[in-house]
Amino acid sequence: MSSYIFRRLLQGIPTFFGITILSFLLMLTAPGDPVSMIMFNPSATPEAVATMRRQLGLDQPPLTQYIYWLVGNDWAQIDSDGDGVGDSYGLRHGLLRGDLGQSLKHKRPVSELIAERIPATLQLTVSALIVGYGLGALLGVLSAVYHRSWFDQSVRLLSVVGTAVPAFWLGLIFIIIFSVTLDWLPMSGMSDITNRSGGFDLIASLKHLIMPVSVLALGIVASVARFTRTEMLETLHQDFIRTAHAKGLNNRRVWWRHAIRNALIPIATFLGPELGGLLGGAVIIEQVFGWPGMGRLVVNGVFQRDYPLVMGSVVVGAVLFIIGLLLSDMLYAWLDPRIRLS
Amino acid sequence: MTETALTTSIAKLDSPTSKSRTFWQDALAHLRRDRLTILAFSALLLLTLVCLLAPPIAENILKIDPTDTSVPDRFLPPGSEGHFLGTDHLGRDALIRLLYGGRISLAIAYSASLMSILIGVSIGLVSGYYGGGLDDFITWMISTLSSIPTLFLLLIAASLWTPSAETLVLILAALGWIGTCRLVRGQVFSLKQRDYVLAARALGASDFRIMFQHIFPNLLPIVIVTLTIVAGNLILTESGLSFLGLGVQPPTPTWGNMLTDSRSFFAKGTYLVVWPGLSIMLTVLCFYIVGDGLRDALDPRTARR
Repeated sequence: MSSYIFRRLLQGIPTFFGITILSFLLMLTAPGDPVSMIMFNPSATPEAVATMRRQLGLDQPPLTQYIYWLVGNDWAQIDSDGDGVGDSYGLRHGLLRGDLGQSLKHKRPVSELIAERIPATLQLTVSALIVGYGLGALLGVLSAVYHRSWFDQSVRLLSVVGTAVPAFWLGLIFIIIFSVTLDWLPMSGMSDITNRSGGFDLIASLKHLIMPVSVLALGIVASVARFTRTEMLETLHQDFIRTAHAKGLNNRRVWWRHAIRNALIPIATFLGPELGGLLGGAVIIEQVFGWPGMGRLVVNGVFQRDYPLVMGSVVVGAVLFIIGLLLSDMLYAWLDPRIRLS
Repeated sequence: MTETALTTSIAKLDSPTSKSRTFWQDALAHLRRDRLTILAFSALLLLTLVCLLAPPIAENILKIDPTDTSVPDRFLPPGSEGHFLGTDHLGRDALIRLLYGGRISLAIAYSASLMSILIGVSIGLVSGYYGGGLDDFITWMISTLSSIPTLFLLLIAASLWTPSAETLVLILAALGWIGTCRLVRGQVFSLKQRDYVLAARALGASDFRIMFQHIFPNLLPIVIVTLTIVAGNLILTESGLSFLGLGVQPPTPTWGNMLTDSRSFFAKGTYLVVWPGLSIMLTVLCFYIVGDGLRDALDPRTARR
């Protein structure tokens, strides 16, 4: 198992470097001068701007800039006053050490901004993932077990319609029904701002979670249900199921003890790819429900042309996605010995 | 069975009355029996036609312009005289804006899906056929691009270039080919091992000829299915981007940015939220159903009933 994980980790490395190259190239082509945008001080002297440029390594050729951007230049003596002699350390710490640059709008490190917002996004996506997988698998299994019944037909309908509905539109419809008309659930935000005691209110948080999570989970429910149904139907036609029946086991026991275990394993492979769509979906859903996560941060960053913030978020989003792919592969290998031993 | 009976039945098989059907005729015959797919396909065709004809319809039948604003006619409910689906916050007719929006949304979906398929198939074909270092490079590019959530890539693109319908098509096509390419590449890997490829090569056919004359026709079934699914996906993506305000900019209507507008008027014009969303959903649904139907019809392994 550990050798499998190691191999899988090694495979992730070129991909990660590909992402850094892509982000760096985009940073390089982005319009506007980064230094004057960071300083944003009309009275800054040209000397001060030139000094900062050298400290950030922006006077270097692109390849050197890329290396500085990746591993930082605070370990090297930088010629900050332009006299040809190194005199002070650079200002970059490098992407690999968590330095994603300075946000042009917020005047704060991008890594700090993202770290503040990530828990909210993870809360949303992980809840949606759990709900989506749980419900999707359950519906898929039941639909296969009651093959060709009205229940099966409705699950099939749901799994087609569920992938065709734009999630943000469903969110708007939910807001109209449950917030505006019925006034059952809060329209936006993550917690009650009127809560004066300042303590954590579980009920209020759950109420805020219900709509965004169910909207985000719908797509997953649809695809997982569809996939599980197919897998389960296939499993039910295999020899060991017939043997189990022949042994005299009742249906319930055959389904729950024998079939489900085998049918559910391939769903683990589904987990990783689904995560990318989920992160993208979260960006839109956060906008609909005013959820204070990374999505809102990055969309505002796009509007404000805050390139370091946008690129930083992209790198973080990609890393989250790669970690998700890795975890799902590992889960699959752990569940299915044929994979890790091959 | 006597020997004569056997001979006549064999003769019957050879006779022109039981003509053999080509693969495409077979697929068409299968499709004809698939009522749901036919229904979805007709709906798509009708929708495309109506959206395409939106300007003459607006002029001659409804006698309204999509940009006509009228303060007294704001938020007329659906079914009002002259405004079948109601009016929006500026008094513009919802139906005609829906048709004009559909024009843009469908045009983007059709052209971007065609372009992305074209790119995906060419790169996948070359990469899968030649293999080696070129294939390694392309595989690396694919795995890099596909490990960034697509929406994030679109956000970068939207932040670098001001979005309009044309740039959006280019951006969506430039990012949408990855899935197709991966699929095609895998197929080409198995197809190039076939004997007929070997035979063609023995006859002295060039690589180009083998790729496009011999391998490509065998890819057509998946390419057609992928095209419909991708078109459906692109409608969803475009509407999401427009909803965020990063797609086609108002006042040009698209289904996505009509929803952005409608958000501010929940109380007065609930129906303004309903129409664009329903249009998106039904269109995407039709694309998916047609895609599924085509997959069944074009897969010779599907049991023919």
